Amino acid sequence: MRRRFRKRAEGYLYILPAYTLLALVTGYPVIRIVGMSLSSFSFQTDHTRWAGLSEFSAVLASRSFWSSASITIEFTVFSLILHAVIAWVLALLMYGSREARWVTNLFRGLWILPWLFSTAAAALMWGLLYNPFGVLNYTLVNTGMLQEPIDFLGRSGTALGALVNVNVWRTYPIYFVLLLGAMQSVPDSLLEAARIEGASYFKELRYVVVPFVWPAVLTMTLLDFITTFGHFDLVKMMTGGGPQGSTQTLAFYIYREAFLSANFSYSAAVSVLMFAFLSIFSVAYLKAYTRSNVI
Amino acid sequence: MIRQFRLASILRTFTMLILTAVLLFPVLWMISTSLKPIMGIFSVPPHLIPQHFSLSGYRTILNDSRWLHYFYNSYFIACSVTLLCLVVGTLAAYGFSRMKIGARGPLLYATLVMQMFPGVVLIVPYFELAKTLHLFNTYGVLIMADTSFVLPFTIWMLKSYLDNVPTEIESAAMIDGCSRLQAVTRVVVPLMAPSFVAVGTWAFLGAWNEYMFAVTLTTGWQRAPATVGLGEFFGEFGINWNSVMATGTLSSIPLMIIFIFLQRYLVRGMTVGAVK
Amino acid sequence: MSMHRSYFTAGTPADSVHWGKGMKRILAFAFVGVFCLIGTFAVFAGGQTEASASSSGISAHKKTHLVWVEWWRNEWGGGVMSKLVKGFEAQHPDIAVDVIDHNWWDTHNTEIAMAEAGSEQDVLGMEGIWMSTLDKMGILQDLGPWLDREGSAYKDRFVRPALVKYRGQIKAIYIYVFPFAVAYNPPMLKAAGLTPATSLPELMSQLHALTDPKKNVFGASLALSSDSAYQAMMTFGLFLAQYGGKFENSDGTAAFNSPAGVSALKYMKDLVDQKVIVPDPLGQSATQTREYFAANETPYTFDGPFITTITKQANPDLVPAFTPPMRTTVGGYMVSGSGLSMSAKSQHKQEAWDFIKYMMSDQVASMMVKVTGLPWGLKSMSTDPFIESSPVLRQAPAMIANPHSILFPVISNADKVQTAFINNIQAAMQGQKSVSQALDDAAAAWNSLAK
Repeated sequence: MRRRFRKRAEGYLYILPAYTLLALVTGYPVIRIVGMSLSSFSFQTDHTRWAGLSEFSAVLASRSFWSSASITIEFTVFSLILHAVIAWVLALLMYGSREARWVTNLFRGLWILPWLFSTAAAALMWGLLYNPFGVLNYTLVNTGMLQEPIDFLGRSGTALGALVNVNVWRTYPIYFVLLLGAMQSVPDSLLEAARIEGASYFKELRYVVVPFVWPAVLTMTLLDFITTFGHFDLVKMMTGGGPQGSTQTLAFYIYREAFLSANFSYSAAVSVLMFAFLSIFSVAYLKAYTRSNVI
Repeated sequence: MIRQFRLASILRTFTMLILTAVLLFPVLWMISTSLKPIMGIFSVPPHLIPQHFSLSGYRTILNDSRWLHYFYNSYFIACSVTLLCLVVGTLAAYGFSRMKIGARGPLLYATLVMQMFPGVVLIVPYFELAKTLHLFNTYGVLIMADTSFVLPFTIWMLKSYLDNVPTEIESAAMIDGCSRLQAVTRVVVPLMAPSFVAVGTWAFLGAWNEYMFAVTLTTGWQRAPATVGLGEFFGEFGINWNSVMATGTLSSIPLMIIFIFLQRYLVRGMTVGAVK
Repeated sequence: MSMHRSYFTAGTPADSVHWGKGMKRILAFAFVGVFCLIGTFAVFAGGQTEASASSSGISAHKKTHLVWVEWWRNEWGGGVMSKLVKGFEAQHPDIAVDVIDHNWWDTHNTEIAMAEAGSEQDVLGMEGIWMSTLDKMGILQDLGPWLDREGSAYKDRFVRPALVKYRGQIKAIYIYVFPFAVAYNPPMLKAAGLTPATSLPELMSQLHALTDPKKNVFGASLALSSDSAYQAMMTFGLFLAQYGGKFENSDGTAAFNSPAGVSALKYMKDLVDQKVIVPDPLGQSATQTREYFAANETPYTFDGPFITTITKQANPDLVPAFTPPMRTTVGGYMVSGSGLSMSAKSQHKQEAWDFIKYMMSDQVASMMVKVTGLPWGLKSMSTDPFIESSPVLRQAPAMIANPHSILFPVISNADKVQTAFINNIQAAMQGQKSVSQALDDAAAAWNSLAK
């Protein structure tokens, strides 16, 4: 009896340090933020009082909240699409490559490079490129694609796209590597079988590789969606919410309400809503795909 | 047939070269600008290779004592986070991989979920936490914040790696008289070395590049990491782009060094855990 | 890859052969060790670091630490900052000044964050537009009683705009007060054979003459991006003052949607429509407009005297100048300043007040005028030799004293009012609203938020 208990307990002991730590650094703040969203702090009285759902109704009634939400969705969807396109193009180029090992390694290495730069460094690099007097505008004007230089970060039409571009540039390597890894772990037996049956490169791709990597792709997409949805860094650094609020993602909205306007409870309510949305989305997404037995 | 094949291969290589040039252009431009004198930054027409080389950008930055602090802070925080997460994460990964844990499924699922957590949801409570515990503007609070998203990943990746390491070796060692602990330290940990490098690098980079928590929880160069310093350039009064680019280049050099030597491990680390 | 294959066996949880005492001990140690690690970081690196970050050496008696949050280091340079601090510390050997510096934007965020976190800050760099949020948080100390304690002669040293009132109390002292006017690049005008414009219409025709898109030269630039609301409002205010308008009535309601305001905004729109400014003004920040000026890409610019600080760094050969007195219909200017406030929660108010007095002392004033190119907030500036000799500062005292000059008002909900303002300006520039409609909408926002 004691022996069995010891055996079970032993495993828990191993994971105890890690999960205690996680409870402290993740669990506790999550509980706190739910608490904060349900209360309201007044500077005059220096007192926190229970506010129920009043902060939430204020959030849902706010136009800037909804516009931030739609901007965030726009930002995320465009990033996802570009991630997918670039990752697939690069992975396919590399996958069937018959070059020498060192050549593919070199290319793969170079293609991963953007990921190593911090968002801050990427923001600086692209900030320089986007400058109206910079090289990008110069090329566009000289080749006749533009009449006059555009300050990409400055007009509401282009600012969000400019940010998407920087974000995609910095983060596509993750998806490229994951996709390539998935492709390369297609069992040789399956590929052999396809080749024996006379499949061409494209058929092999379509009927063997793609179905095999599909579950990994779906998981990656979910991961991508969630991490991009919470994007903050570039907005803070490059546009500060952007021309007429056109780049104000939810994450920046949360930051701004808390740290620029000192509306902490309001900001907490937005955070909770965001978290709720992402959780529901993930659950629904996973349910949809596990039901069809893909993942 | 062979001719077609060769053509396709050449075309492919050519495309890869073009893509590489396009993708890496911003980096090259950054380095190039860092070596230009101020008046040459927006020259018409622009030059990739500077017409006149100048180190004034670097000189300005290196004369600014704050940057030494920024870099030191980044290193300290990133190293601490990496160390902490590797130690604690290995234990947890070993537990999940080798031990009977009843709540294994749900816990792992929760870990996966935590890995995907958008950090922005936590900045306000972290702020309050820092205020209550008097940890505002300290290394400790940033280490905690970074751990919140680095640790789940670490556990997950190490566990995946461990799953692929056969248990026979440690069983053999224990039969030979080692306690489990000795088996772990003498046999398993050395076997895991490549994954430590991969996961450790990823953890280090994750902590190094973190911006959001750093910018909300620190007040100045005493504790702020380099990302905050870099971010400040955007709001500055008059930008000297060459010093800005010099800073960008300098802050990226350690990463590029890591990258050159540890590229293999990085990729392996990324792929081992993700492909189920 | 092949290495993976050979290791590809599903890991099975092994039964423990025996649960040695060693294991128990090690796990306990690991557990304790982890907590010690965290604890060490928290405690060792913990606590408010301002006091521990002091650069002064270990002294025999404990020093009082004064925390100064500001943004001027990037503008004045590290050398000037340390000179100022050392000067003060020499006069007050018991006080050590801990400087926390950021760029202009982040200073405000930091002050709010520190106020919220209960972090000690004593002297705060202050802009009029920041005051309402900080006041809401109870951070701004009423300086009236402190001034009164110094005697009426002391209060009289300051120019009127330097004593900044918010809701009836003096909550900040502007260390420098400057006019926002039209500045130009003398060599470029000379090369074009022009003398500086003395009215807005004359300026417009000169801008046409000076603009040449093919050479990347434009007459001027406007900062109308969303985060340049302040600069945009100042520029608008300049035109407004030239046309004889003002921002608010004595009861605080908006007065800028008058005919003078319409003329002012229309002038701005003409600058955009007639393409005599750097393209895409809605994308430009104040930083960029200053860059363009410093890089000899725009011969004219709308700014305050700190244009000299920027150009000094970027282009030491350029000595900008303000145009001679401009008179469109009347000829006023936009006036503003930046300064210092004291934290109402400070534990060292006397020391903080000493520091503010030091910064406003005559010796610091005459030194800083030379360094910063900005008129200090004292009446003595009108006879300062450096100001009289400087082409860009010579007119400043008169501009400030000009009866038609408008002081940038301190308003509540500054952030939201500015947003409303910049949104309306942008809408008018893009043709989405008529000029008068834009001003009326901004006035409506002002009336509901700013008072």
